[in-house]
Amino acid sequence: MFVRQIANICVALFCSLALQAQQTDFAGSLKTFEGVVTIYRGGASVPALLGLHLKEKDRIVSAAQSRVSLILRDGTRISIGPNTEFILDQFAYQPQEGAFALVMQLMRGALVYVSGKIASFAPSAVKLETPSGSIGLRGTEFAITLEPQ
Amino acid sequence: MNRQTRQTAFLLAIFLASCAKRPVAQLPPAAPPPKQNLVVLLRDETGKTGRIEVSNAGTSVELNQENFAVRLGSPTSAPSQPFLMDQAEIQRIWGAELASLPAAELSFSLYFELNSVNLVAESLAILPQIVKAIADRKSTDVSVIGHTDTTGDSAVNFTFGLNRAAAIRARLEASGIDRSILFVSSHGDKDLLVPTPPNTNEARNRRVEVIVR
Repeated sequence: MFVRQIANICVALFCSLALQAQQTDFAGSLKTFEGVVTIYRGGASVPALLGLHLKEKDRIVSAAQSRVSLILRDGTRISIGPNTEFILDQFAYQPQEGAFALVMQLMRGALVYVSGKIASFAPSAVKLETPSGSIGLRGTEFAITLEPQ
Repeated sequence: MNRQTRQTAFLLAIFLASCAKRPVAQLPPAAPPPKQNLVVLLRDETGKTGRIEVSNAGTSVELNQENFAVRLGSPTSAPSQPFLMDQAEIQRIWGAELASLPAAELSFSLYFELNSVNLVAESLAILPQIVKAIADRKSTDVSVIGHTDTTGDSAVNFTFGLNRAAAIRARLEASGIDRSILFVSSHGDKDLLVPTPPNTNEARNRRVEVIVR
């Protein structure tokens, strides 16, 4: 029974990966993680998985002694520390259409950010919002840490 | 009272006076760790330092020098003035996050013969490097973007760029790369590496860009 459930999940996962080959509706991918990292998406949650495709509106939460790193489709890189809550609020990277957006939220915790091509094409399109203020990014690398509110 | 006794009394008096001035210094209470709402601008791996703007409560503070930081307060307080952070302190706070940054994306350019989806010999030799980069990074996101020169019609060039990208995808698949991580698209003749007028035969524009993330 349990094995069958796993098999079903694998089939579903394979189908979703195959589907994504036709469309690039994802914003980035999960590169590394340690400990307990959960991705909340549309009311459901998925555990972290190496290579997982991340989508706009994904909320990424790391537990104590846990961490996770991401690369977005424009080359932006983000390394998230323990006890952190991060939301990939808006992502658009379509150089051909001139559509660029990268709006992120850090509710608590720590991260290091290295900008990608969105910041070079449209510097004003990149923003990190926190409960204590917002950060406009004109490139290229910065670090932030927030105490729990 | 002899001289020695007087001296001792004098020193004792100075000692007591200095104690009286700062009695707390003798028994400091266990101070809570300072609030760490910090933003610091860093120099990137290429040696470049950018610029960030930290805003809250109607006040905006710009950071444009390496290792300069601001402290953030409550949701209703303005950011602090910029101050220089010690490199050791930056490492203490963010060392683990800095060490966990993923590698930067890698970009390859493959060039084509005129009116063809066949690679020139030099570009054929690059294919194994792309396969290795995908494996090394355990990448699940590889862009394969086709480009043409400005010879001929733009709509035809768009499709031709797509055909070139599809040809590279087929080659990567033949090398064992999973098709589901290869994302094919075309920029046609709209994203020239070397700007040229229309109807210009330019070998450097006939290319497929492969970006491994």
